[in-house]
Amino acid sequence: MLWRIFHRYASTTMTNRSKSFTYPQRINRSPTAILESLNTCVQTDGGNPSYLFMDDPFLIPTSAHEKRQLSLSKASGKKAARWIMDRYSYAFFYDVAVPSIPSYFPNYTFDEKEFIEPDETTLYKLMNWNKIIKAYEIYKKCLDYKINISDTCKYALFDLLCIYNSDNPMEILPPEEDWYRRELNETNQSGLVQRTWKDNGLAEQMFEELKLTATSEQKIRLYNSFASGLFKYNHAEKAMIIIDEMKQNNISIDLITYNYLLRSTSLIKETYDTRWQFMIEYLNEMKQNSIQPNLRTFNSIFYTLRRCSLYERGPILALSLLNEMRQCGIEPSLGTWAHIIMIFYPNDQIGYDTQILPQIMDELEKQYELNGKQFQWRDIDDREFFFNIMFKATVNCRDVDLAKRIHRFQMTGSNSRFIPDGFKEQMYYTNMFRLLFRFDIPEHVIPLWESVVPNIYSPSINIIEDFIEFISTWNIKDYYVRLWSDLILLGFIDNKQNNRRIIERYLALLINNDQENLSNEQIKQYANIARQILKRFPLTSDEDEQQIDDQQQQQQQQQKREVNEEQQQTKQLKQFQSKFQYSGQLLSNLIYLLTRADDFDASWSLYEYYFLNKNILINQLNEISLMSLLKLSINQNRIDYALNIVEKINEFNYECLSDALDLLNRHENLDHKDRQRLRTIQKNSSLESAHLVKLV
Amino acid sequence: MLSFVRTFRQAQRSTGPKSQIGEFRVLQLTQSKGSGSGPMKKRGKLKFKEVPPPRYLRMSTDQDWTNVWPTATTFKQSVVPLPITQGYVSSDNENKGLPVEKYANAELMKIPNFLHLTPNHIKKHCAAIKKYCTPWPEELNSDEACEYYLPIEITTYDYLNSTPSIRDSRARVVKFQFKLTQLEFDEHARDKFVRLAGQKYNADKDELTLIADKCPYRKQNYDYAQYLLTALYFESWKTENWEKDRTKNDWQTYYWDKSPSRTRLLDILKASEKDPKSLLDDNKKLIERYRTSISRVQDEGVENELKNLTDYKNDVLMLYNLKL
Repeated sequence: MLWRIFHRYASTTMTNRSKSFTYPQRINRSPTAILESLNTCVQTDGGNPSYLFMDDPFLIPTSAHEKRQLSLSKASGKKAARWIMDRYSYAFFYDVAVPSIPSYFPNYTFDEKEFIEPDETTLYKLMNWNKIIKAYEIYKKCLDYKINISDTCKYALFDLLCIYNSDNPMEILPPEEDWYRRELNETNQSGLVQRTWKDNGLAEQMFEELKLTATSEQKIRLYNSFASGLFKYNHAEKAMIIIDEMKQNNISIDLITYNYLLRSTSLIKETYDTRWQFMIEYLNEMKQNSIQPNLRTFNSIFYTLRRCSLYERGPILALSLLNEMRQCGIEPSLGTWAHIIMIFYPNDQIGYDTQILPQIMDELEKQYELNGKQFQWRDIDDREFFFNIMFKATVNCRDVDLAKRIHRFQMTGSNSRFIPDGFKEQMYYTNMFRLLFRFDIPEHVIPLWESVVPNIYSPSINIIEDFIEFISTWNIKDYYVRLWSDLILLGFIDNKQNNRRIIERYLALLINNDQENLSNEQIKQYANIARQILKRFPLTSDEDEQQIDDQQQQQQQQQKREVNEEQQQTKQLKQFQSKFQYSGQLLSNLIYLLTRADDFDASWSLYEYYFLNKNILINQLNEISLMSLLKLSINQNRIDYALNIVEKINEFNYECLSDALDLLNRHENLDHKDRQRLRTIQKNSSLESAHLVKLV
Repeated sequence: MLSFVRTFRQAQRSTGPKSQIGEFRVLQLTQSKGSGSGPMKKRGKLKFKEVPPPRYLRMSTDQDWTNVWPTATTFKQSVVPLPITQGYVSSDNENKGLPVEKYANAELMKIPNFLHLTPNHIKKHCAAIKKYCTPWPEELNSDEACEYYLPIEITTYDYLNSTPSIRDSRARVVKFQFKLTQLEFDEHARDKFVRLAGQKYNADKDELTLIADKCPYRKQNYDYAQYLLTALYFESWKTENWEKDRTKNDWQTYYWDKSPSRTRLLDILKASEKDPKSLLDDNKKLIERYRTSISRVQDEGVENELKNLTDYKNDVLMLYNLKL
């Protein structure tokens, strides 16, 4: 209305202008559309830890164990907070937030009065707060008191009973716990199909009751819910009985029930052909009743086909199904592809003649572009896609390029959310790296490894061993020192069960390779590593341990009983946790590394330690270490020590005795007694070669 | 109601001497030397985790910075690969006279940084948002065109706080701005409008600003501003009865036609001549000159005072010279 007043007064002298102009139309967008499009600019970066762990570098977890601990403790904290909020709810009613945030409020506590005088609203409230069993109790009470409950409420309650199998639904785990759900959920780890339907449970009781008073429309809903519930919890026989009943009474079956039916075909029929016949029968029925199939229908059919493993017609049928899907105008989802992969590669051996996997990747990349560079979750089976495809690409096809392509696809955009839990992620990367270590060259593998470890993927001990193997095969010497710090980061050195294995392998790596061309710098670094090992796992002899035990016993006698018990528990714990056990092999490697860096004192202490504890250490000191220690002691003019070493070589009856004698012999500063000792050693040795050495 | 309850082990109670039932417990404020637990227990050495080296050592020079620093965060010294310093050292004793490094530099953490808005970021963001943008209308190709098509500017403010509440009382303010040339006025209306507007009118830019913030809601303020503008405009076109009582002191400019100077001049001229009709025609030019100069003297005030007064003097002399 203001515009009528405003007069185009000025500017008669200006150029000719049209009287009005049209605004361009505002492009409709959702409230978060801009945020979402900005989000697509960010790709996963292997250097950043995941958002949950971002903190000061001291606090960022790098090993798998630390990550698990940190995320589960965060989840535990949240749960504790929620528990406190519910327990002391009277303290938490002050609301600062505008608009109000319901999840920051305590849960609704039901009044006793509501239960004593139940009402339909009570029922609805109970259903909304997921207390289904209580709702059923209250429903029964209402029936007893002859309180009128509307049919919508009754049928809603019945639907819920069927969906949740006559039980309260499980609390949704916080996402941190959900990531580890496979380890936390002890039962049903292998994912077998088990019948969990509660026979004669609340759902069945209510079914019987409602059956009597249902009108024909309500009957449709009733029977369909019941059949879907039975199928969902894998009680296929009873479900088929209900389906037959439905057919007899001319009750139409709806799409959801059909979907469940198709999915459970493998529980109903035994042989593959009969299963296929069964499905075709029902699909024709669907066509007759003009029910359009949706994505879930097709995925269910694929799922059943997949459970017919090693079925010759399987792949052909799968492809024709895919065509059918396209004709219905339904775009296949990631779950569809997951099933197809398993159909084409039913087990580890067969199937790599078909080039199905690259074709699937082509298809997906095309679709990704078309979809505006994002994929949506469309079906519950989508979670298996990446795991399956990497598994088959590495085990069946053994195709390095394909594996890298899959990985690249997974890293683009937010596709990484399609790996739903920790176990699948571990297996995905394990498979990928196993393949790459065997068939690819370091220039490609090392950057890939660095981009993913340690923030996105913390490897398990098998993969780290394969990695050490890989490095030793390809002789990537420059990486050895870096590997040591990686091992510490990833927690393999502190892990009490496996650290000896890893340390031994690593030291073997350091020593076994070409030793001639090591720079001074590298020798020093290796010696530093040896010292670090010694610092972390200090050598204590048996006597020291005995002293500690004595002290503890004295302390025990002086204290009261309670504290006593505590101490005993800790002592038992200490005994239970094995201390780091040195072996002769380990000691010899350490001695070798230290002597190369001319560190006599450290290597001599190791040498002495060995002989003090010879009875509890396995393996002997090997020749290489003894010879190098000998050389070092000769260079530093410690003749006594040298003679000691030669005597020990003699005891061990090593072949190198002759070289040892020779070396010592050539040294000029030997006095008479020393030469005498040399001669006695030579006399006492049982080796032929020793006697051939000419002693002065 | 609770699905499960986590129980926690009870904390250990103090290990003082236990008293028997009925006996009066003695208050012990400090532990006596005898009742210790043997020789002093050595506090176990805390095993610290190895701190990994800072992340920037592993960054390649051709990495994509937009992925490393996607949003605004506080400065993380282990992630930024640049040797940034901040701090003033006043003498060679402080920090050996060197500028303060980025490690644990609180000053760098306190200030806002723009590492999330490098040119690459902006390029990517613009490319992502472009699809929601419409082209600039072609008709608006200059400032005058904007004024022509969009005469009024309405300004509102939105505030974002780092709190759970989205409300801010400053967001209720609505500002209307426009130039008076956009409205239709006659002289009286315009003058009245300007007088009514008072401080809200800016004479240099010929612009009226209405700021409405009386009401608690923005919509209410918007409606009020509209009402105010309408009322102002229509009021300025009305003439009240008492406006006739205007005197020469209230005139906003010098109206020659109503001025006593004109009547006096005519009287003088009439008195000197017998034929009134021919007066004006003969002396028209001089009267015109007199008129402009006296108007200028009255209107322009201090600016060209000397010039105006000399002009006036000359014109008056010329006028009366004629008579002489």
